[in-house]
Amino acid sequence: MKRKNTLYYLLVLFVCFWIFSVPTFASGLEWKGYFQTETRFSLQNNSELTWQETNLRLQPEVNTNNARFYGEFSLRAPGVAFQLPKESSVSNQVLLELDEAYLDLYATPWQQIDLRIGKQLIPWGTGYLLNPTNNLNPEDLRDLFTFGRYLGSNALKATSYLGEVTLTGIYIPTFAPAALPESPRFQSLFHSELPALPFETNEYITEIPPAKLLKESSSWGLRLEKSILDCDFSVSYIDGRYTLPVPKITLSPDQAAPGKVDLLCELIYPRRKIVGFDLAGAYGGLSFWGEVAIFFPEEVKTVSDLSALGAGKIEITTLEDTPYTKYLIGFDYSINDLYFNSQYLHGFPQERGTKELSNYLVSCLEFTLHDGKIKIPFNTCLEVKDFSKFSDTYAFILSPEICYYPEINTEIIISLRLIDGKPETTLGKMKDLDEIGLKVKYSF
Amino acid sequence: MKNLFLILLLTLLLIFPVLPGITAEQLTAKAILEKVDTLLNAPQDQKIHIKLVLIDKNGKEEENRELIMMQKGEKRMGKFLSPASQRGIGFLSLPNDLFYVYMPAFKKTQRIATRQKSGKFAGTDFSYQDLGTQQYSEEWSSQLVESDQENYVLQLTAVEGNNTGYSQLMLWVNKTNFFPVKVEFYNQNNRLCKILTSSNVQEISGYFIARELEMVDVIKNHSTKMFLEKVEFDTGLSDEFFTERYLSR
Repeated sequence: MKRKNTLYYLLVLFVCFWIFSVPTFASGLEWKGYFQTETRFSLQNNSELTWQETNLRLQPEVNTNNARFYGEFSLRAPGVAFQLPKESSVSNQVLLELDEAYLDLYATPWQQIDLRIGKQLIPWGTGYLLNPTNNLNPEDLRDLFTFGRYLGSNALKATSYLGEVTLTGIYIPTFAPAALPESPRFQSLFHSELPALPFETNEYITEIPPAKLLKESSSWGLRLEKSILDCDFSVSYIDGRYTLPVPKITLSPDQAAPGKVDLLCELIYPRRKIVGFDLAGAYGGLSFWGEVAIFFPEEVKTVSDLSALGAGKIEITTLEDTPYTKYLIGFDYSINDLYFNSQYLHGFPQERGTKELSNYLVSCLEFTLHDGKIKIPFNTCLEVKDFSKFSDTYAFILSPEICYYPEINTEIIISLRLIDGKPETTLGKMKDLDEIGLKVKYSF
Repeated sequence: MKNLFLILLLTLLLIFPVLPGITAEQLTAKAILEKVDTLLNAPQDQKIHIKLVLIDKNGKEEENRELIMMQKGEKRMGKFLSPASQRGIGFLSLPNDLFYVYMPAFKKTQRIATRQKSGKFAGTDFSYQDLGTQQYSEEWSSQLVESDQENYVLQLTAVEGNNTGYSQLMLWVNKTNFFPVKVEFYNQNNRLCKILTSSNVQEISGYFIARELEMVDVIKNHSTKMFLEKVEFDTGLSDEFFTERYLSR
């Protein structure tokens, strides 16, 4: 452990030395960014305001021949607490969030190696917004309907270009959990359900993040990329932790109230190893892609002794160590002003274990009108938990939008979202979230 | 004898001034195309700062876009400088129909299907294909249909394996320098869809280049003007530059 720490600090020292040895940034700092405001109303609860957020995102950048600094931070005014119509209150709170800030070094002593140091996104995978192999950054799930958003991680990335092969290594020394919706109701969508017990229980819930030791909190990954037969392939390996908590349940007799049971639910972040494959290619007018991620989870199991209550020893497993596989295949096609893409996904980010994985068909048909001034995407998502019980395990989202671009940097989007389905499904649990929304974005 | 001599002399005088013309006229369509290819692909590499102006059907200038484009042989890379909403978007075109787009918003490089190359390039009337390296003689079979004082007019038909998205081209080639000054593009239904006009042709560092190009979409009655504001040839770009590594920088 001590040796690992020493190695890490030596590496940091080396990087610092190298930063100061590269030529100073000659050119000036460039700023870009955007302003975005979004408001959504419920279609079911008397048009109650369900979401309002204003975001000013700034992206400073400095470039030289041998190095590049890039940052991305936002001033976010949530406005209304997420999805809490009854408890919502307009807030003047403004949050400063640093999403990315990193330094790229191109002039390393090894010409074929590029380094990236700092808070960064590591977007692995070839799928569009949905990536089973993208598991290094924690998910940003604060807005349930913005798929594919992640939080930056403080990391060291080294990319080596070895002829036709690209090898990427990532080391993330600290652990950060996924960002969940602010409402406990929607947080529960991302938690495993507590087991039903034949006892009256006192529930105690506590979150236990990994210890702040490199051995416990760090994660790392390797990815090898190569083009074979006109297709781009990659194979990857990740050793890290789940970023969504898993409950670890311990039961003990309540000493004060005979017959009752204390249920201690520790929300932990177990380790997992992931082997990933992805590919991307094109044939004629069709682009296609695919991803497979095989998860090897650490088991989360407890044995509680309730002999005093005559129940003997109770074993509760909330995460089995049986490997499970998530995968995705997709394609897109465009002809004239029509664009279509479709992806079949087995396993959403929050789903764990073979029994939990559901099936999703996510598609978008987009029409472009008036020389690109108007776009009309029609988004759909069909979930089927079990194909043999389709009528009992389906749910869907229909989400048409109208995007209007009155000026080159201005985007106005009116969106509608309708959800229906069976309550056993992930989407079905959100069926009372039909919304209409307006989003305005200006880039500068 | 004297009359015969005069007749021969007159004949020679009449023929001599047009001899170069006859020589040129004897060029086959394929030979003309090969000369066009040689001319267009003569530089070792080129780096061009491009300004694009979009013009709507009423002739109103809608918006401006700027990008830097680097080219070496069949390899090409472009990066958008403006507008803000597209700044940083890059594309890389490689031989064998390999085509990649870097999307800074997603921090990802994405493989794009060949046919999408014939789609609009960043909302302009140019397609990615139109901006690419042209190897006319390899991708098109040709026929000389007209020859006036200034230009050859060639009809080009797509050969098997041609993935440009066009069925036919009409190409006007300047007789003096073999620069293609006008191209008519016909879609898969053999309907005229776009017209490209090149003007302000200049010789820079021994290479010919049009500093202004206008692409008119005749179906949508929309056009895009392209101004080549800064042109550099033979800058010594290495092949390594035209890779995903540099595309994402």
